[in-house]
Formats: sequence, C-alpha cells, structure tokens
Amino acid sequence: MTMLDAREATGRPTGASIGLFETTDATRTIADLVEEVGFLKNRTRIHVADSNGVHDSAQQLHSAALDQLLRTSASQKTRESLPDLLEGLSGLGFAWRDLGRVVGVSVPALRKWRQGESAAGDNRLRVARLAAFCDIVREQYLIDDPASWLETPIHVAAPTTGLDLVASDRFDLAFRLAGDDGADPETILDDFDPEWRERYATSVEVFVAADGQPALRIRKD
Amino acid sequence: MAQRKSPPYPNAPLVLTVLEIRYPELSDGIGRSAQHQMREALRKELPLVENVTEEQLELSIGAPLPAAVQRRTFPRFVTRDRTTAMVVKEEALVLETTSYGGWEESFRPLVALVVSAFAQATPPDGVLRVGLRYIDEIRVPGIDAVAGDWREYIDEHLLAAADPGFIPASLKPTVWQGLVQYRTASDSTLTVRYGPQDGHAVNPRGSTRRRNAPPPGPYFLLDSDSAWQASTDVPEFDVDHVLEICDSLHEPTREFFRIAVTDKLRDEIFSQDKGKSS
Repeated sequence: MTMLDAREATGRPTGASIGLFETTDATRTIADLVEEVGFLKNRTRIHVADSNGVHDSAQQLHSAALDQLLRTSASQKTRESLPDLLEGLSGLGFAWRDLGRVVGVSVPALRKWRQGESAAGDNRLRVARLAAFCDIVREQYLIDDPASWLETPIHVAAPTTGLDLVASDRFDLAFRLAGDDGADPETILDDFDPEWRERYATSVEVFVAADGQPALRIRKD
Repeated sequence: MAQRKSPPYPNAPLVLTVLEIRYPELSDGIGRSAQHQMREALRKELPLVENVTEEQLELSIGAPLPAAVQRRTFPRFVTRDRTTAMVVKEEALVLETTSYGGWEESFRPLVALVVSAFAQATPPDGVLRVGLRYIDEIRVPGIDAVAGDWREYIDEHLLAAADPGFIPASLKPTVWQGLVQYRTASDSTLTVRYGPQDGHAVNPRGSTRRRNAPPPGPYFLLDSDSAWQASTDVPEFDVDHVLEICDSLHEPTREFFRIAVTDKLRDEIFSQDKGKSS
C-alpha cells in the first residue's frame, strides 16, 4: 500500500542550504519496496531535465555574452577608417560581391567607399560588425580563414552558407556554427530557415549504375 | 516468552500492518523453482500469485552513455480478497495486510508460514533487519477539522505541541506530526510518527485493497514502527530466531498504542460495531 506523504498536507518545507538527513530507517510497505525504483526514475528524469535546463541557460548566457562582445568590438571597429576595414576584409579572402551582400550594397558602392567616399552610418556599422565577427571567430574559435569558412555550405543537403547567416544578421547562429560544442548543422538550419528541407528537396538522386559508376535518376517517391 | 493477547477491536483504527525482513541480497535471485516451492507452501493462505515487474536504471556518471534499463520480475502472493499480500525481492520480504485479525490469532501464524516457506525455498545468508509496523487512522465522529479537540481521545502528552496552555493565542495549529524514537532493546527501536492529519495515511486505492475505506477527513495518525537491526554480526536466517524477533517487536507497539489513546476512545469508538461508529 502507498503511505501518503505528510508533506502533501503541510506543503513543501522552506529550502535550506544544508541537507537535512532522514533520521529514521522506516519499515517499508510493498509500495515502498516496489515503487522505490519508480521514484528513482522520476528523480533521474528531474535531474536530466535540470541538467538540460542548466545547459540551455549556459548556452543562452554564452550567446548573450558573444552578442555583447560583438557589439562592443564592432563599436571599436567603427573608429577605424572605412577603406582600411574593407581592405582588411578583402585581405582575409572575402570577394567584393560577398562583402556587398553582407553589407547590403552593390560592388560599385564598395569601390566608392574604398576610394574615400563616405558611407551611411548603418552601412559603416555593418562593415565594422563583419570585421569584428571575423576577429572573434579567429581569436576565440581558432578559425584561421573565416572567409572560406563562411563560404562553405552548412549542410550537404542545402546550399546555405555562413555568409547567408551573417547577411541576415543571424550572428548568433554563426557563432553556434563556429562553436566546438557539437552544434548540429541541421538545428542551425532549422532555426535559420524552417522550410529548408522542402526548399532544397530534389527530385533527382544519385545511384550506382550497372557499370559501377555513379549516375543520376528521378526519385520514385 | 509469554504473549499477552491483543484481540482486535470491532471498530479498530488499524489500517495497515507491515512486516519487512531484510537480508543480504540473494546471490542467485529468486528462481522459478523457488517461486514454485513458495507457491505450493502458500497455496492455501495466499493463493493468488502475480508477477511484479520493476525497471532498474543503470546510470554511468561522467560517461556519455545512455541509461541502461534492466527489467526484473518478482512474485507477489495475494489473498483472494486482496487485503493481504507478500512480495519477495532479492533483498527483502514484505508481508502486509489491511485486515489484521490480531497478533496471535492471525498475523503471527501467517508470518511463521511465509518465513518458513521462504527459508525453505531460497534461504538467505542471514538477516539484517526486521520491522513490524502498525499504521492507525483514528477517526472520531464530531471532530470535523484536523485542529479539532482531540484531548478526550488522545493522551495529552501527544497533543503537547498544540496545547493552548503552551502556545500563544496568535499561533493556530493547523496540522502537525511528531516523531519519536525509543530504544526498546540493545538492538531494537520503536519509532512513532503521530499527529492529526487530513485525508488518508494509507492510500485506499493501493494495490493491497482497503476494505470499507472511509471518505477522506481528519484523523489522528499513529504510525508505530518497531524494528530490530543486526548491530555487528549478521545472524543466520533461522526461522525460530526471526519469529522470536517478531514477538519482541510486537510488544512495544501494543504497549505504545495502549498509552496513546484514552479509555473513552476505546470504549466509545473502537468497541462499537462498525455499522454504528460513524
């Protein structure tokens, strides 16, 4: 039989910073004996949920800290001249068309800025933010060639790249991608574009033909 | 040792009696042969046998391995009216009943039977702990609140925490539970949990059936847990020795119950026929 807990009647005790020991070893009923394992299972489930909660909280904190670092670094970068910032990014290997896409302007507009024409404040900030992002991933995530890394598709089943993330101001996802905590590329893509699977689904599949060579054919389903 | 009789009252407040015997874990578990042997020995008193399945989790701390689940089954022997049951596991045997018919009259003979059957079927290497527990829900017609006036029915020593002469008027007792452990012998204790509560102490919808369970309401809990524990040496699992322990555990519970309740409660409530009590 199940002994009902007196705490159900009196409510939960006020939490204490020290553990309180059960002072007696009670004679167990059948329910105690049989359900102890169930109780342990429930406690384990709670511990797992707690651990996941702590992990999520830590991840949110880390993400917030990176966001703050990016803002601070970008603000510092805006003090540098715009031509220097653009030359620096070009020196890292970024193509002008990719820089134009991230900043949201045309390649001729970039050329004018390199030649000394002034840029709007928000455009200047976008250039500075990309430069700051590259500094952070190089220093904190040891990514030596951020330009090539950002041009690489995140997942084999979709053409989306890291550049697409930063061009859409999803630096948080780009940081997750850079992190070495085993971030699943699919979850990053899910967060970036929930319909990516349908969007990039193909009706063609690769198969090994009779001659042993790879070949293409239309999917049956 | 001469046993004083403790005939049950017609309207006794006892809702659950439990005997638990713990022993060193059975090295080979409880095999089919042992189960069959116990089933034959208990066929008359506990004729129904059910298999209880438990899931055991194995967790690897610090290793990225999923928890492994092991399933084990063990027998549960039950009376046809499902008010008495026994479960045997690798480390303990528990016999419990909600229809207690007296120590000498019914429960001790049943204890003797199950302990003998168990010792013959799968003798453990020793005995670690024996506990005999009585759980009473004392319900008094007319007391409609937990903080009601129990003074005429429960000995005043157990009501001290709520005594108006002790506590200031600004403190209103609503519910309380006391716990005291007495040493009854060099290797035995009596642990009593007591106090007014609401609802039920023993779940009326538990797997061991409670016959005619009252509706939830205020009751005074008397939970007497008399236990023997091997201090240094672990004695052999000898049936006669276990029964001697059980006898020695029964007496303190009987004595405490005698001093905990008043004559008025005994005469007006416990001695009434059930149909007239509430």
